[in-house]
Order: sequence, then C-alpha cells, then structure tokens
Amino acid sequence: MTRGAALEFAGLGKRYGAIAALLPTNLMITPGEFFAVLGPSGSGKSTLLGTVAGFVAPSEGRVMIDGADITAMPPHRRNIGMVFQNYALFPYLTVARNIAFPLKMRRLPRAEIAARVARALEMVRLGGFADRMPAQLSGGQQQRVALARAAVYDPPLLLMDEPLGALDKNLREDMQEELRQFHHSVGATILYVTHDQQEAASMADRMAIMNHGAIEQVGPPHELYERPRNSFVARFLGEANMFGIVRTDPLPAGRSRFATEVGLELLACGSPTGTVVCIRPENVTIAETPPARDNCFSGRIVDIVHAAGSIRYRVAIAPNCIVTARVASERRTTVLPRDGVVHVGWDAEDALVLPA
Amino acid sequence: MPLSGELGLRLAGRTCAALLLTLFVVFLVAPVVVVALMSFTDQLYLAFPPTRLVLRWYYVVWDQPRWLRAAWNSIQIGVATASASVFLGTLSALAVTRGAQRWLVPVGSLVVAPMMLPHIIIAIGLYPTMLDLGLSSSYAAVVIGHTVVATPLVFITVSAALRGYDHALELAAMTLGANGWRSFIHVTLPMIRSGLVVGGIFAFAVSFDELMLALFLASPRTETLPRLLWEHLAQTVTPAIAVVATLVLAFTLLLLLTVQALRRRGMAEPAA
Repeated sequence: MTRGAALEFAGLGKRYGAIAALLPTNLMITPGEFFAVLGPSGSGKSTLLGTVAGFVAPSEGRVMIDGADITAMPPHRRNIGMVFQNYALFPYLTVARNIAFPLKMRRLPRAEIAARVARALEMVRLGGFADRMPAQLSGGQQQRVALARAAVYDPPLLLMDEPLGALDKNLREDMQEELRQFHHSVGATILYVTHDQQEAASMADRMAIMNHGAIEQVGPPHELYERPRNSFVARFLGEANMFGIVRTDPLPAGRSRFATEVGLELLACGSPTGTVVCIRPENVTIAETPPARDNCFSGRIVDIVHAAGSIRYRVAIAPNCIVTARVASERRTTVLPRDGVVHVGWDAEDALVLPA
Repeated sequence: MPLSGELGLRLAGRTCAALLLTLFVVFLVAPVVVVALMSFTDQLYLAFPPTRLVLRWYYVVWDQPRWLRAAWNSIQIGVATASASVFLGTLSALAVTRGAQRWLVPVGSLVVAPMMLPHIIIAIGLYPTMLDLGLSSSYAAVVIGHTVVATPLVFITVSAALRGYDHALELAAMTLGANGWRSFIHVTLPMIRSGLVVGGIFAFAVSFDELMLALFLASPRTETLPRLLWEHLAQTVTPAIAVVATLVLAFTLLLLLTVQALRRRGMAEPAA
C-alpha cells in the first residue's frame, strides 16, 4: 500500500489563443483523497487533468506533487498512473504483458515483474486471464486490466478520465463499488474526471464543480448538494425547482418574501440579495389536502414518472410554472392520478436562495 | 411490388457484375495470358497461338548475362527504393497525422503529389539535377527517382494505419514511463506494422515495374528489367521479351498476393 501524494494547483491556467480553456485555478488535493472533478463538456476538467498527466502545457501557474513542481516535467517521468475512457490497452499484447509494460519501462528484474503482475491480476480478480488478448475481454474486464496496469508500479497519484464512460449503466454501478474498494486497497490519491454527477457523488471524498474553465465550488458531495453556492451548482447536482426573483421584501427572523418571475410569492430563508429560489424535489410535499407548509400551492398533475424507489410528479401550479415533487415509493404507496388536482408545499427553511 | 422490384434490382446488379467481369477478362487478363502463352513458343518470332509449349526461350534468357544483370539491378534498386520510401513515408505520415502544426496538412498533399504527376515530367526535372549532382547514370539516381514516386504509397498506407487507432495508446505508454522514442518502438511501430510492410511492398513493386524514370536516369550498367525490355522491343522482337514479361508479371503477382495475405491478417488481428 502506497502513501497517496498531495496534488496542488497554483494559479494554473491554460489558454488557446484568445480562448481560455482553464482560468487561473488554485486547488489543493490532500494525500489519499478520492477527488472528483465534475463538469459539463468544455468546462475545463479535461484540461486540468491533462496538465497533471503532462499532455497539456499550462500557459501560467504551477502543478505540484508533494510540494515538488512538475509543471515542466515530461509525462514519462511523472510516475503517475492514468486510466483512460477507452482503456487504451495495447491490443497486440496479452493482459499480462499489458500490465508488465510499465515495469518493463522501469527495467525491473524479470522475476519481480512476474510476481507483481500476478499480484495485480489477483487484485482486480482476473487471475485466470493473464494470457488473453484485450479484445477477448468484456468492457468491465478491460477496465480492470487498465486499472491494474495503472497501479502495478504503485504510483502515489492516479488519474482517471471518465473511466466508466464506455460501460453500460448496471456495470457502471458495479464498477463504482469496485473503484471505491480499489482506492482503499491501493491508498493512492485519485483525481477522477467525469460529467456524471451521480458517479462523482457516490465515490468521491470531495469534488469540484467546473463550468466555463473555472471551479464553481469545492467540497464533499453532500455539502455541495445541500449548500450549493450558486444556481449552476444546484442545477448540475441533482434536480432543482428554480424560481427567478423579481422583488424581495425582507421579513423578520432571516426570512424574506420573494416575488417571482412566474407571479408567485414565496417565503424563503436566506440572502435577500439572491436572484433564484431553489427547492429540491424531495423537499416538496404533495397531497390531496393542503399540507401545513410555509409555501402552499394547488395545481394539476401533468406527468408521473416511476423510478426505482421513487415517484416524480410534475405539477403545474401556475401558467409556465411546473414544480417537480419526488416521493419515496413503497409497494403500498398510493399513486396520485394524472390530471388530478393536488396541493404541493414546502417550508421556507428548505428553499435555497442563490445567486445566478 | 417491393419484392419484384428488389428482384429486378438484383438482376440488374448481376448483369452489371457479369459485364464488368467480361471487360476485365478481355482487357486485363487476356493480354497477360497471350504473353504468357507466347513465351513458351519454339519459333524464332512472337507467334500466337503457339504450336507447341516448350521452355526454349527461357533457356535463351537464362544464358544471357545482360538479362540476369538487369534483373539483379531491378531487385537491388527495388529494395533500396522500398527502404528509402518506408523511412521517408513513415516520417512524413507521422508528422502530418500526429504533428499538431496546421501548416503540416498541405505538406501531406505535397508528399503525394508525385503520384499524380506524369513520370516523364519528374524524369525531365530529375535528369539535369542528377547531372549537376554528379549522380547521373548511378544506382543512386534511379533509387532517388523511384523513391520520389514510391514514397506516396508508403505515406498513404502508414497514414491510414496511424488514423486507424486511438492516439491515447501513445499517451498511455508515456504515463506508464515510456519516453517518446520507446513509445514509438513499443506502441506506434507495432500498431502501424502491417501498413508499413504493405507500403514497402507497393514501393518495391512500383520500382520494379517503372520504365520512364529508368530510361532517363539509368545507364547500360544500371539498367533495370523494364528498361532492357523496352530496348529489346525497339530493336529485335524475339520471344525472349515474352519470357521476361511473363517472369516480371509472375513476380509482381506474387507481391500482390503477399499484400493480400498481409491485409487479411491485419484485418484479423483486432478480432484475435
């Protein structure tokens, strides 16, 4: 088990001509952390990863591993492991020789290479697959070979670029479990880039949300979900009902009354300078009689979506205003009828008031 | 009636295929067969159809050192051309497909340009150049001329091979500890190997069959088989010409079959 490395970005930026792919960024990733970088495509997350791997030469700032500046170091000397989206296994080499590749590059003795490869194969439960060719393996197995190859030389830092992107949904969820265990067993720091918020949230210790070449917010997944700093983060992580604010009337006890774009008046706690009121669907109560909530509206159910473990209702409460409510569903939960008139409500404390 | 429509279409397709095959046989295969049959004649002149099939003229060719020397010249020049073309074609393919510089894209068109140009234009340009360089009528002159027209073939096959796989393989090799040179040896080379070999065989075949440049750039000492064939045709037409033509054809056919076999293996590789 290796000690994970600390990874630090100091004022790191990258521009291509007039286009800034990455605005000057400061970020500190602590040793052994599973850190996810989450953002839509073109948000700068791949550029950030590329500067650590050494594929992208930054325009300004520094990348440091355990305090040592690696900004100008060529990729092959960085001793970083990397897992690619399409695995990047060498198709003309067997599984064992793929895993042996980094050890061969390090000119290790033959006996030690054999022993380490065998151990790595055991770790990813591919013991009997040493002599197979990559094309003879399933996607999940290939990804495990790629993991073994990236970790067999005990790098203190592992980079993962959408490693589960090419797998189907069920396999992806199994692999998330496996990646977490893998992280525990190798002890390395992991920098994990993805656009899938569920994937990032389920694995990462902390994560950074990126947009337009800048980090919007950094923190543990639950914190980002519960206390997003702005409406982009709120929208990107999970679902959110958003109301644009047109007027704010401060009330006692930290509350305010917000007049919204759709003409509804909402009670919420929070900064009177915000521009958006945001309510998570699971905080919206839906009932046939008006619930005892600070904000209460009646409306018509326009859509019902059944998902595993929950039901999503979309309720039209005003012209151009549909509120989503999510309720946990069990076997005996009565499903409200589509087109039925219902009441939705939420408390002022559950509403977030955010800047755009 | 979709079924009868499809049937009609299939019938039309078959008719077209049969027609093409007939044209192919008449214009491409028939002359080859005629030449091959004429090479087995026992007469003193080119005659078709031959009355008897004997190896008389094969012995005649075998006994003339000039034919043998020309054959040996052709092989030497072909091998040298193939080597130089593989080297230059691979380097330019790497630069154009992997280089990030945008100005390299037109360079790619420049590399393949000699394939479009009539060989006689290239020959007229190269002849005085070789005189200036003091290389005229040397082996080097012919090899340089042939390399100019053979490099595009290597460039094309190797470029296709380079585009055929994910560039991430090389990036992966680098993160795993391979420097630029070792990632080329351990990753790029195995990935482009079949394109490289096929390109090399094509380059050899181009050199082996080329006449125009050999006429301008070779001397009696460095003359190639096509050049000697040409000279014989201009002077005395004997069945020896048919013999040499048949042998050149057979050899070229062998090269093409090798390429086919390599291609099939190359296609089977990813699935293996």
